Amino acid sequence: MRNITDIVSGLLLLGLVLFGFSLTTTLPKPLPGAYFGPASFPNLILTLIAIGACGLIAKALFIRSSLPTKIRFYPRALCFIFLFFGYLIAFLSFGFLIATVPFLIAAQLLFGRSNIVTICITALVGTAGIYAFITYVFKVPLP
Amino acid sequence: MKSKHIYSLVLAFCLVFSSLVSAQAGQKAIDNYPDRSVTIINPFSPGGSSDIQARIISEALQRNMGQSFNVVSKKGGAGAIAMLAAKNAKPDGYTVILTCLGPCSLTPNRANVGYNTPKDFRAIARLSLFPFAVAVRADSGIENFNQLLEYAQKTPNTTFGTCGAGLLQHVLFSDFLSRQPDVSMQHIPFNGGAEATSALLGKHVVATVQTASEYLPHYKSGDLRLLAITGDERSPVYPDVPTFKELGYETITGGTWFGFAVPKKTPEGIVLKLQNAIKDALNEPEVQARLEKAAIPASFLSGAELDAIISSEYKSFAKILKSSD
Amino acid sequence: MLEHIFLGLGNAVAPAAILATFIGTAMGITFGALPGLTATMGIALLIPMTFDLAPVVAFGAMLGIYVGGVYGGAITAILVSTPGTAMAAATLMEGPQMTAKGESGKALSMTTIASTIGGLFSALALMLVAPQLAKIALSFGPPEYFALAVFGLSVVSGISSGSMLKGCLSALLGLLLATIGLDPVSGDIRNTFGIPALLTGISFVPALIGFFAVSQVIIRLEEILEGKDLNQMKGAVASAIISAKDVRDNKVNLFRSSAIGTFVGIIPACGAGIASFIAYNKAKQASKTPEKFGTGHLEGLAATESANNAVTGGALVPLLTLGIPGDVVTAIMLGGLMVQGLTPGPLLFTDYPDVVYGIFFSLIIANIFMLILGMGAVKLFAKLIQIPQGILMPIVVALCVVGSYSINNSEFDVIIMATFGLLGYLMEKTGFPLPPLLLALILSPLVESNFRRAMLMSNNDATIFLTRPISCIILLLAIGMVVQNILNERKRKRNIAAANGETGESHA
Repeated sequence: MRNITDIVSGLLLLGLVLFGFSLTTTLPKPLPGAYFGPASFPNLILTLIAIGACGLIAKALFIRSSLPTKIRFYPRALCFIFLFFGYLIAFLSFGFLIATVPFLIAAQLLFGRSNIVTICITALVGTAGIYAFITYVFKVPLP
Repeated sequence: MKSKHIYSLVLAFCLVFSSLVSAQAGQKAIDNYPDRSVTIINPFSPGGSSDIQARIISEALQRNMGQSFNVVSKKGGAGAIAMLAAKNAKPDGYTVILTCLGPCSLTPNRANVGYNTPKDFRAIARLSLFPFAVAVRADSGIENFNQLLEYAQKTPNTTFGTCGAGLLQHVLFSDFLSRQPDVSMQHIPFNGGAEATSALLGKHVVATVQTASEYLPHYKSGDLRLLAITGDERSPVYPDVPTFKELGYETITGGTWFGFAVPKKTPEGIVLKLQNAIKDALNEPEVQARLEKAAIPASFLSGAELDAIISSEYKSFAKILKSSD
Repeated sequence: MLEHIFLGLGNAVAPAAILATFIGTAMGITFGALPGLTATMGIALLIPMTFDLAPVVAFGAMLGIYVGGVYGGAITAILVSTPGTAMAAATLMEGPQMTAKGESGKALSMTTIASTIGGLFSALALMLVAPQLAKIALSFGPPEYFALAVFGLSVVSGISSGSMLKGCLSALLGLLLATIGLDPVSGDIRNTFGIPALLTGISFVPALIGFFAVSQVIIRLEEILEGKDLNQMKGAVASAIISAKDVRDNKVNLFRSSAIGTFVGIIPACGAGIASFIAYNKAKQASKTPEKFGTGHLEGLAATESANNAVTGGALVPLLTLGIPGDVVTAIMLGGLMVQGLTPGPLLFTDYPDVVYGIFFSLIIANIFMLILGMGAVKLFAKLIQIPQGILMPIVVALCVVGSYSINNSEFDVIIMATFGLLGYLMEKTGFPLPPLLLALILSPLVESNFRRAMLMSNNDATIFLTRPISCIILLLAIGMVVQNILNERKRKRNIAAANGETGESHA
C-alpha cells in the first residue's frame, strides 16, 4: 500500500513552491552593499520546501508504509465547512446578530442534535450572550 | 410626451429628494459625531512617544466628546502599514491616524507603498514637534560630534542604528553623511526605537540617530551621550547638547512632527470638530502637565497649516530621494 | 534599602492597590480566556483610567491583567482547544488531549499551580537580581537574536511527533507564510498578492484561532460521526484535580521551565511563545516517559504553563531597569509608567525605590490572586466541558469569528482565521503536525531580520555568528538539541518496532 496522501501533499507543496518562486522573482534586488534582499529569505525557504516535498514523495514511493493511511472524508464535515463559510459571508455582509442565530441552529443540527425547541433556544441565548458580552463589556463594536 | 415629462419630473424630484436626504444624513452624521468609539491608529510600537501622546490626547478627547478613543498600534513597514489601514478606512472620522513626517512624506517617496499623502489624506491638527539627536555610549570615548566623524573615518564599517529602514532618522543621517566627503557609516535598521536603544546600550552599534526623547532615561542617568540635536535652538530638555547648526552642519529637517490625519474624503465638518477638540485638549493644563511629564514637546498647528507643510515636505523629499538613487 | 522594601510593601498592600490588583487579575483571566481579547487590549483600555491613580495602584491593575491574561489563555486552550491568546500556543500540545481523556480538571489545576509557580519564580528573580539580568538582555544583539531564534526553531525537531520530515515541512510552511507583508529590513512589499490588508503580514491571533480551534471543531464533528462521543464518560473524572504527588513529581520540571521562561522573558522581543516551546522540549528530553508527550501528558502541560507565566517577571526586567519593553504588553505598560511621570530606566530604581518595590510586591500579589481565583474556578470551568458537544462546538465557532474580528476590528482577520482553519484541518488530515507551523510563524521575522542586520553589522561576514561567544554557544546548543531529538526519535522507533515484532511473534 503506497501512501497516496503523502504523494498528493508532496505534489501540492511542489506546486506551492513554483507559485512562490513566481512571486519572489518580481521582488526588488538587494540594495547596493547588502548581499541579502527581500527575496533571499523566501527563496531559501522555497528551496528547502521543494527538497522536503521531493523527500516526502520519494519516501512514499519507495518505502512501503507498514500502516496504510487512508483518509476518510465525511460529507457532513464538508457540509459544515460550507456552512462555516456561508456564516462568514453572512457575518461580514449582514452583521453578527442576523448571521449567528441561523448558523447556530444549522450547526447544532449537523452535530446531530434533534430537539428543535432546545436548539432554537440555545441558538438565541448563545447569540444574545456573546453579543452582550462583547459589545457592552468589552466595547467592541460588531458589524 | 406629457407622460415623459412627468416621468422626468418625478425622476428629478426623486434625485433632489434623495440627495437632500443624503445631505441631511451627512449633516446629521457630522452633528452627531462621534456617536460611537473612534479608533486612533498609531504607526509605531505601543509605549513609544507616538503611543503616549495618542493616549494622553485620546483620554482628553474621550472626556470632552463622550465617546471612547481607542489607540491601536499597527507598526511596521516604515509606517506604511498604518497609513494604508487609515487610507482604506471609511472616511467617516471614526478612524484617525496619528501620523508623522516619516510615513507621510518619506515612505511613499521611497517605495511604491500604495498611497500619496497629499492626495489621500487631510490633516486634522499637529500635536508636537520632536528634534532628532545623535547619541553614543558615554563610555565610548567619543566626546563630541566631530570625534564621531573622525572615528568613522578611521574605522571601517562604523555602524549607526535607527528605528527602521527608510525612516526619517535614516534619511536625515544618510543625507548628512553623503555631504561629508570621506566619512561613511553602515546603517542598521531596527524594529522601533526601543530595539535601537537597546542595541546602542548593548554595544552592538556605535551610534544611533533617533528622536531625542528615546534617549531621555539614559541621558539622565548618564549612560548615553548626545552629540548633536536638530532644530534651530537647543532643546530645553537637553540644554548641554549642541545643535547641528551650532556645529556648522545642515540637516534636511529640524525634527519630526506628530499630528492627526484622516482619509481625504472625510467631511469638513468632522475634521473641524476634531481639530477644535484637539486644540482645546492641548490647552488644558492637565494635558499639558502630562505631556511635559512624558517629555513630549507639544506644538499645535491647524489642519490647513499642517496640510501645507505636508505637501511641501512631500515634494522636497521626492527630490532628495530621487537624486540619491 | 530595607526601608524602601517596607514602603513598597506598604504601597502594594494598601486597600486600593489590593483591590486594583484583584480586579485586574480577574479581568486578565477573562480577557485571556476569551479568544481574540488579549491582555494587551485590556491594559490599553485601562491606561486612560490610570492617569489619576497612584503609580502602584495603576501598576497593580496592569500587572493583574498581564499575569491573569497569560494564565487565562490556557483555560480555553485546554477545554475547547481554542487558544485565548498567542501566549497559550504551546498549551495546545497537551491541554486538549487531556480534556479528551476526561482529565480537564487535572489539566486546569496543574495549569493554575504551574502558572503560579512560574509567576512567583520570575517575580523573585526580578526582585533579587533585576539589574544583573538586565546586563544579559543588553548583551543580545542581532547575531544573538538570530541564534536564539534558530534555537527556537530547532525545537521543531522535538515537537513533530511521528514524522520529522513532515514536521520540518510544516515549519517551513510557517516560515514562508510569515514572509507575507513588508520586508522587515528594507521595507519593500513582499508576496501580498496586491491585498493591502496583507501588508501587515498575517495577523497572528486570528491565524492561531482558526488553525487550532476551527480545524478541531471539524475533526470533533467527524469523531462524533464515527461514534466516538467521549463526552458521556467524562462527567465524574472531569472535575478531579491533581494531587500533591503530581506536583512533587514535577518539581524539577516546574523549576527548570520557570527558569527557562524567566530567561527568555528577559530578552526583549522573544516572548512567551518561544519560552514555553523550549521548556516543553526540555521537559520531554528529560522525561522518563517521553513517548507520552503529545497524548495529554501532565508533565508537558506543567512545563508549558510554568514557562509561560515565568515570562511575565522576566519581561519586566528590561522594562523597569532599561526602559526597554520585551513584548507588546510590556510596551503598553511602559506607556502606562510614562504617563505617571515615571521614566523606566536606570534612574527609576534610585529615584523611586518605593514604587519599584511596590511593583514587585504587586506582581507577587497578582500571582497569589491568580492561584486563588484559578483554583476556585477549576470545578466551574471543568463543568463547561459537560455541555453537549453539539451546543459547545457551534458556539466555539461563533466565538472564533467574533474574536478574530474584534482584535483589530478587521474583516480581513476573519478571512485569515477561516483560511487557517481550513489549512489546519487539511494538515491534520494528511498527518502534518500543527505546532511547528505556529512556532515558525512566531520566529520567522526574528530569524530573517536579525540575520540580515547581523550581516550588515559585520559587512557580510558570516563568521560573526561564531566569533561572538553567546551566539556561538546558542547555535551549538541548537545543534545539540536537534541531534538529541533525532537520537530519541530513533530509539523510540526502534522500541516500537521491537514491540511490534514481539506482538507479531506471539500472534504467530
